[in-house]
Amino acid sequence: MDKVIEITNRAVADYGFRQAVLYGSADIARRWGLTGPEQEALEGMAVELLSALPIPVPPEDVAVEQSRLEALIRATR
Amino acid sequence: MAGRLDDKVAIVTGGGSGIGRVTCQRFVNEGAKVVIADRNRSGAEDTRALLESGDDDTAVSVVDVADATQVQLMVDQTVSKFGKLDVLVNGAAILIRTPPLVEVQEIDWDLTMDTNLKGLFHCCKYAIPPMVANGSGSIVNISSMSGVRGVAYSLPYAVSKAGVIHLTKVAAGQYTSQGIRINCIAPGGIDTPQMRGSTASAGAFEERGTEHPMGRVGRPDEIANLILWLASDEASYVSGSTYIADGGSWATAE
Repeated sequence: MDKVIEITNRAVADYGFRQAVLYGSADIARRWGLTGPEQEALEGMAVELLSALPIPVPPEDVAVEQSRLEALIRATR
Repeated sequence: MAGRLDDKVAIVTGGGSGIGRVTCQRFVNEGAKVVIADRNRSGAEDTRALLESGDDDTAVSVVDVADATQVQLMVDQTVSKFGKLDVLVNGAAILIRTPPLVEVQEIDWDLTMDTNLKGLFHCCKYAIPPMVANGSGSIVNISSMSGVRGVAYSLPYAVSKAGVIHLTKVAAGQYTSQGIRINCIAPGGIDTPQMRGSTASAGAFEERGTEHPMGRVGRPDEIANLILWLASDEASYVSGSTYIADGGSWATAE
């Protein structure tokens, strides 16, 4: 699940990358070589969480949001 | 009163938000039939809901321009539904902030190029044949001032947008004689979701305005107006050109 967390962390910090994940998660999964369960987590839980973030995430909140999303994604596995 | 795009059929990629959304509105208001193309289905459908037009005059195409098969299908469906294609606006793009060149990850380079440059190439490649068959057409490519002067915050984005300018010039040289006008716009900072999202914070975004010679960043409709003119027959003697629309920012910097 580390790759999914890496992708999610980047998507929290960078809105452009977030758009690539939100509207092209299958493409991102392919480029990152995700396994089936990893792709499922990205296209499901991660996309849902990323969709709810503000645009952009304020710099002071990035680390907090990254930790929050990581905990939620890991908790579902 | 006659519209400036009466009887024209247009595809607008990136039509689900920002400049693309306002362009769709301007086009419909001037009489065009418009295909709103975007990877973001909900954004495209929101744009369609905003248009003052009947459903018969608009369509949504969910398309990843990096995928040639999807682009070909988008063009085929447009011609099938509306009978022809007159105008293509290439607005789909992504902006991923990157560190300096040595630290740029290959995947960020590929993601950016696949959408911003290869995707635009795909759209031109499949839109030009029906335009040639129809004897005329207008393509408006959206570059960026990043492609003119470069920016430190994203090497891949700046290079992709420079590529858009050069593709415009070369393609115009190849197809103007067949009735296809191909032009480009290089906007400066425009108040779009993408720009707000790619600026570190709301405060940093506001600062961009105060540093500008006009005291503000641009509005999407100010770019859409230029797109409309280039798309219309009013620009009948214009092809192969790139128009800077940055509110005098670059001129002031010089």
